[in-house]
Amino acid sequence: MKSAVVPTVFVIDDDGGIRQAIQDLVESVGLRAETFATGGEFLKRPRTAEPSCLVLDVRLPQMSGLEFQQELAEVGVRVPIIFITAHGDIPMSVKALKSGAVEFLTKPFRDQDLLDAIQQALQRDRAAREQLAEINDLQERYRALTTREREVMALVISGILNKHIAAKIGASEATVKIHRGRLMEKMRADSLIELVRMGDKLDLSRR
Amino acid sequence: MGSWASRDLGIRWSDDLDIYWSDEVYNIFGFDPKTGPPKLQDFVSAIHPQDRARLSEAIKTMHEQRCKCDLTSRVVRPDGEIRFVRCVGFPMVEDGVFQGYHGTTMDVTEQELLTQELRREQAYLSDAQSMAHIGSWAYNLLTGELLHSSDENARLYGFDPSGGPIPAERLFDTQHKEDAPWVNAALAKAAREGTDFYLPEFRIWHTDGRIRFLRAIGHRNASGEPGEYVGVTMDITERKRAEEERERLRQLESELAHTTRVNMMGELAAALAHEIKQPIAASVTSANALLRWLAHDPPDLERARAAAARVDREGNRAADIINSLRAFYKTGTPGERQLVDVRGTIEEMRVLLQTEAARYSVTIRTELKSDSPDILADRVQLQQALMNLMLNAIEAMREGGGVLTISSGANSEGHLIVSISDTGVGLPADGADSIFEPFHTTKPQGTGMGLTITRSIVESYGGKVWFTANQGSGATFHFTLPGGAEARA
Repeated sequence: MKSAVVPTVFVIDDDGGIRQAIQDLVESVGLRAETFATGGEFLKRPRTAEPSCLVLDVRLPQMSGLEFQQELAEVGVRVPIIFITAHGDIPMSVKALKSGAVEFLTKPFRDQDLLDAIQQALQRDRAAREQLAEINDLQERYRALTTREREVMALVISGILNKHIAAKIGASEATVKIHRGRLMEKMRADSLIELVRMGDKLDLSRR
Repeated sequence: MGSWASRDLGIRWSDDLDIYWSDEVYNIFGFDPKTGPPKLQDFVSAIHPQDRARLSEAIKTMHEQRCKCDLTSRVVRPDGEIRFVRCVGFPMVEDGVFQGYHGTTMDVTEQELLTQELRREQAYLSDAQSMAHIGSWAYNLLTGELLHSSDENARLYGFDPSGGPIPAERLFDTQHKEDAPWVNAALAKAAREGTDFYLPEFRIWHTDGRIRFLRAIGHRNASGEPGEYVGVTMDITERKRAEEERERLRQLESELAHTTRVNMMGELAAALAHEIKQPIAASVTSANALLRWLAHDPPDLERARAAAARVDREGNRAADIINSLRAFYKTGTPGERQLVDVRGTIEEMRVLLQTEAARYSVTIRTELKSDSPDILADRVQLQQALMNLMLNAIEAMREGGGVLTISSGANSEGHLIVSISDTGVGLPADGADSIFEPFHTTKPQGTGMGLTITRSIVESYGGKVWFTANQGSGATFHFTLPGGAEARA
């Protein structure tokens, strides 16, 4: 494991018995759990840095779990969701899974099914977080570039030769080479291929 | 009947016309024979003013043309009584020479009144037939001769009766192709065996081009010629349409009632399932966690114990939910119990389920003894228990009908006992004990909750419900409910 941080499993269910049972099960396999009776309580809690996932009951007092899933997406909280329900039907589960849920379990569920789904959800969150961290890192490096360097970088990754770049920006080929060397260094790119990949991640081609 | 003669009439016009009256004629007119034959003037004066002109005209015609006459006029007697008098006169001719008139005079008052009465009756009958769309006829099945056909009988087929009698063939021509074979077969059979016939419903093509539904009843006229029948034919088109409409509505109503019942039970079951699954899921998950704590090395007994406590608690919670559901049937809210008129409630249920029963040709009978105690109960719950048992009884007789008997009375302890008996298919020999279990059903669309709910209600009052097989056919369900005073205590 990359870090020693313990992932957190959030549980939202209006039934106290279910909350306690899931918390206990999650803790028995060495994970952290935090439980909430409503979606509102969960939203009030500050976001965590460590990987996490959400076990969400479909039937909640104020809004349904499916509606809450929508709301999370709208407010930009990206957390993998595992739905649990005491009377799920197929259309409901299809809808949940289409909206990006990891799993849809009906109560009573097999403990291993829930734990597997939790592991899968945490894995997904971890990957998403790593990707996000990498992008943040790249953005920081990119911000350190001068305007001219950004201009050159865009032209380089679009596959234009140095001399054509020089003509385009009205500078000598030697100057372009200097810009290019410096931006490669600032972006910590070892090769043109790596720079192109960074450009993709930064979504430069769309800018 | 009296006779008269006149030597002058037709020969020489005079005031007395040399007339002779027999005593009976005097009698008919209320004249005195001693005063001699009346003058023509007196004679005419005795005639009712409305008939006078006609009679004078007739006498004149006889005189001028020497023809015979037959005329009925009203005579107003001196005492004011009105009689219908028929006068018939014949010219007398001897050896080719006209000799005057002779004739008869008779009092036809009784006959005339009867005729008038008959005419009135006929008019009434004709009106009635026309209003009821019932035509009468007399027909010889062997000769095919239509002996009588009332105006309405012709109109049933769309023919105009004022154009004279309608030949039988024209009536038969209107037969619907699909009905003609059996109608003709039924008529042929009746003719062969000399029995009455009944055609409950057959179709004809009315002259307006539309189909009509008719019904005919024929009665063998024993005093008539062989094959002679008298009968009536009626138009049942309207009635049939109305019946179809009513049947359709009844069907809808019944389906709706059933759907509501099924839906209600379905929703109840779904809600129940959800409520019970929650603690069960919590219990199962806690048990899983417990096993995992035990599998730790070393086993985490503290956490395992806590998990075990939750297994226990959640298991009990599931049981509590089920118990509270029973309590829901048990009491309702306090204060809903009131003294219920049991016999009145049973009668109400009978009225309520009358239509449903009639659909399956089930007759509902009640035998409510006057010692049936009124009980302290929730009236709606009692209705529900009765309805479930009665619907089951009707259901048991839906193939072939039967009799549903509800009896009520007091048992040896003075408790109310109600028995609902059917003459239906009875209960299966095996597994009859399981019929009170939830979701046990023998019906394709049954919910299996009817008897469960009934038992729950009855037992909540400290009563008992059971069943016995009938000696003949069917089954009887009984339930007891403690009397009002005891339930209150």
